[in-house]
Amino acid sequence: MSDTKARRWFAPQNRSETIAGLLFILPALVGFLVFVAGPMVATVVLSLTKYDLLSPPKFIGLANFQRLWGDQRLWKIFGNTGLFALFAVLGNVGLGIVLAVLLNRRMPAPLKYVYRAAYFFPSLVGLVFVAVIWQFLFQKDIGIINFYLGQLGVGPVGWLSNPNVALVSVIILDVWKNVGFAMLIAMAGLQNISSDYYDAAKVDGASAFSMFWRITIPLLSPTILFLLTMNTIGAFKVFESIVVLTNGGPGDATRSLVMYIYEQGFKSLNMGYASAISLLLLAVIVVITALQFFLSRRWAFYE
Amino acid sequence: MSDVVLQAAGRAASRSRWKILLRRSANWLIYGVLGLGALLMVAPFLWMFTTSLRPMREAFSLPPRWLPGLDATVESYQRLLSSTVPMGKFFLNSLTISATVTLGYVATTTIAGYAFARLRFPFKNAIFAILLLSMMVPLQTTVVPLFLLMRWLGLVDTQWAITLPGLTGAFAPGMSGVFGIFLMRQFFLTLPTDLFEASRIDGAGQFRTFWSVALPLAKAQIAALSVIIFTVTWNDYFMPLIFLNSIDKMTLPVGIMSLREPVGNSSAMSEVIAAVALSVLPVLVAFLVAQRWIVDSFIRAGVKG
Amino acid sequence: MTLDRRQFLAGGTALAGTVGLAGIFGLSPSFAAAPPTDTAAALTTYNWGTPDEAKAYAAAFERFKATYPKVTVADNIVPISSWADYADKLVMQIAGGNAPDIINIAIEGLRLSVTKNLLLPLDDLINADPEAKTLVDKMPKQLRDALTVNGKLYEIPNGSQTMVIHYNTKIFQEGGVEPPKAGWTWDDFIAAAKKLTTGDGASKVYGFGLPWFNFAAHPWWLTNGAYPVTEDYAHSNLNHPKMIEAAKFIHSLVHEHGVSPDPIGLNVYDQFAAGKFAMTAAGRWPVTGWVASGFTDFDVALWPTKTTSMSVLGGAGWGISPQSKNPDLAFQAIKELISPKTVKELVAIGQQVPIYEEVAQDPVFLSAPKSAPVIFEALRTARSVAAPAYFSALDRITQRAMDTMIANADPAGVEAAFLSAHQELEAEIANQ
Repeated sequence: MSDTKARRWFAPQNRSETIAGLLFILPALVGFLVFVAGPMVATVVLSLTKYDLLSPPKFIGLANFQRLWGDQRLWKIFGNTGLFALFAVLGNVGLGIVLAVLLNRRMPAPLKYVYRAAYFFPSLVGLVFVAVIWQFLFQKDIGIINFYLGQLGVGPVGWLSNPNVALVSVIILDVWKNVGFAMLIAMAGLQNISSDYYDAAKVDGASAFSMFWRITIPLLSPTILFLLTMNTIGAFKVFESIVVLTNGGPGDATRSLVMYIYEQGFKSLNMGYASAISLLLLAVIVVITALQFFLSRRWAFYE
Repeated sequence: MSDVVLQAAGRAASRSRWKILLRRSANWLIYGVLGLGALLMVAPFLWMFTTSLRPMREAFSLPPRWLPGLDATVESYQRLLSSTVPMGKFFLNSLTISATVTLGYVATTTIAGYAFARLRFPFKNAIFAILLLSMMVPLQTTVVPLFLLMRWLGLVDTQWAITLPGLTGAFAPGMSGVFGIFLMRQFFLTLPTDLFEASRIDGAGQFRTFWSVALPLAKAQIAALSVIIFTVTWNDYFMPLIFLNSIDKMTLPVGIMSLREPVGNSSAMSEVIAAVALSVLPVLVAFLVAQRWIVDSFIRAGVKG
Repeated sequence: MTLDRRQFLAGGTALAGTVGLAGIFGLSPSFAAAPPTDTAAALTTYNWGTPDEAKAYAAAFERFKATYPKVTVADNIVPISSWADYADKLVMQIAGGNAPDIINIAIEGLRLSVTKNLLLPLDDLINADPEAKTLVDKMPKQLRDALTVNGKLYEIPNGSQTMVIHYNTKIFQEGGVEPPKAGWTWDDFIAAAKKLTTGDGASKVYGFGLPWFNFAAHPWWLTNGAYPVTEDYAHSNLNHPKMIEAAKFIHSLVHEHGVSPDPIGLNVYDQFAAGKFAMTAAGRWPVTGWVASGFTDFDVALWPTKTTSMSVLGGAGWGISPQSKNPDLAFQAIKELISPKTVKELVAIGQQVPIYEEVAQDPVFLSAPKSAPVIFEALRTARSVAAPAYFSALDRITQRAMDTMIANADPAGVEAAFLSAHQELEAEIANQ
């Protein structure tokens, strides 16, 4: 590490570098302070108030958090979000890796090109647009999925109207949309694994499966970790896909934490309470990220 | 003696022929499965385009059609574009916001990334660590005070509410600002120090060094970042939802959502599908034309991240 | 509105909010005759409507500008996903420091707006302007009453809406079922719907396309003699046995009789025009679109009755914000918006029922549906949609209860859903 302590920042030979450094980061730093750090502090402050925008804020101490604790809707919504995150992440990352491994084989280049494009394209399109399309596919009585299921003799599934199924539908949409991105990252990670390992394993007579579990997965673990972390944070922030697909319904069956924050803050105008929920969300994300970080220390295999 | 060898060789040959056959059929099976999967990925878009070309009265009748038939018509598009729904405005707003945010974001994060990578200044590591931590704070947790801030600045229902944070590299809709800083820093770290030594010896100033030496080398990375930022801003729904009210300020995602509602609106669903098709079309075209480049951008960002 | 540290830390409630002051001001000025025609100002609106209606409004504002050339009007058309959302957005916008001058808001948002001091009482303005008074007096009393709170008129009606049953004349004819008659009951309704639910898979036709939003559910409450809130608008009435009975009926349409498809995520009006439903329910708003797309085999009938024959009255009105800097100018602009010329142009678009009898007799309006007079009759006996000060919460909570009940095939779930909704709503009311 550099001798930052002993270095004299404003000594003539260092001055221009110091000033340049500070100036170069200034716009980003100011932006950060004004639009990220400031609001972050404000959220903490607001969570201690009752504020409905039309009258000045009223300090109420920890009352919002007490309300949070006893709010049945909140815990249901929290559960939804957690379940969604769990399965969406597993689906995205798991399926992404499987696809990457399959696509990584030697195959005619045009075929690989087309497949890769097909799997990645949904990631690029706006979530709102695809959700509008999927709402038609999922409709219970005139939807397309149920039409084909009907032809196979399966009764109509209430993809969007059955509270037990609705969350599954949202997960399906999320995986469909995001698996391509995970696949790409995994493919890039796979290409970094030297083929020597596989060659040596083949000589020893290893089967495809054992090669996958003993070589691919461990050597891919930094990538896997990256995918898990990014996808988990993203999953906890889920908002648009649910708003368009089910608007949180039926009832609260698919409502997510961010939707609840939006509802409390911008519809019920309980800005203080919304801030308290925001802090809960932040705490969850921090804990999970920290957990993944520490687990990675123990498990990830860096060459 | 030779018989035994021949027999063994024969058996070995038939075994290996089996193996080759097995491997080939496994390959074809995999291609088939992948192909089916690819079809599933693409099917919703196919349905969307076909439906937008069906006669309005029966656009949604079953059985669904996946390819346009002989009765393909552009009625839905005509109805959509001749009604006074401001599709053009939505498109323009999306374009200006995305372009502005991309420019500002890339500029500020590139120069900041360079500074963190190559310059020495006080508190550098501490600041960087704090920035890194902030990546965990999603926009959604600070949206309430953010709204209050914009209100105080009088920017609610203007494009500035969305572009200002982007311009200063604080965040783009849906993407933390630190992502860009982190990405560019990673890149600049890979440049050999000799380059900068040479520039210093030549007596070039700090900014000059950045502009003439480092920047040109970063073109690919900058392009990659731009693609990502432009895409996420273009697709974003959350920020316009919170900060924009009037219909002629809206971007494509929010604008199209507003078409969907039954009250105070007479757009048939076919028109909404046509609107969605129009919104997806540019992305599709850009993707077909520049697939390589786009995919590489995302990979570059993801792998280096 | 910046945070005052002292107040904030002391935990006291500020008495003189900006809004409170505006409210006091709103009551005191006396309005003289119209402002001079060379006044310069910039007016903004908070408006809604289809793009065609927007054009009609633009034309009206042009005519207004002919009299007041130095006044600009920025007409903001805000998309509506629900009246609750629309009202919420208005509150947000005003809280955002952007108070509009002219506000177009439906009955649903009235008490909410009045309680939050977003509307100016208009009686003084109207009484001071004889021309305006004549026009307003011509409007249906029922509508004016719906827009009156505590004896003060807060909005000038600009259109009304109701709910009637639209039925496909061809399907009824081919199915050998008599078209709905005056005085038909819920049982007659079910019988017709069942007979006309035919087919399977791609050829399935349902008896009734069930529209799934607050305004459309009201006639079921009303024809059973129920109402979502108590008479004084102060409390929830969702736990009333008659409400639950009506809800159970709606539930049975989907789950017991199978005459309606699952309503969630379904656009019933498009499907009706495509001949997928024998009946559906709406006001006048989809009619023009249907005719334009070539679908004309439909007619209307009054809502089936259970204990009363009553439909729901909806509508909107023009109001002025107490924070407007030019309330008298805004009033002049509104005068143009309610002029017979503007109303005629709006009739041609046909979304709402016009406010003047003579315009409503216009052949353009009467051309479709065939039994257009039925719509007027429905309006005459209609009761205004429940619009308490806590409308936003009412709408959201009721919608969630409806969603939950329809998702569950077991009719016992209906009572549970509504009882829990009642508790939640009462809690929200207490919190406000």
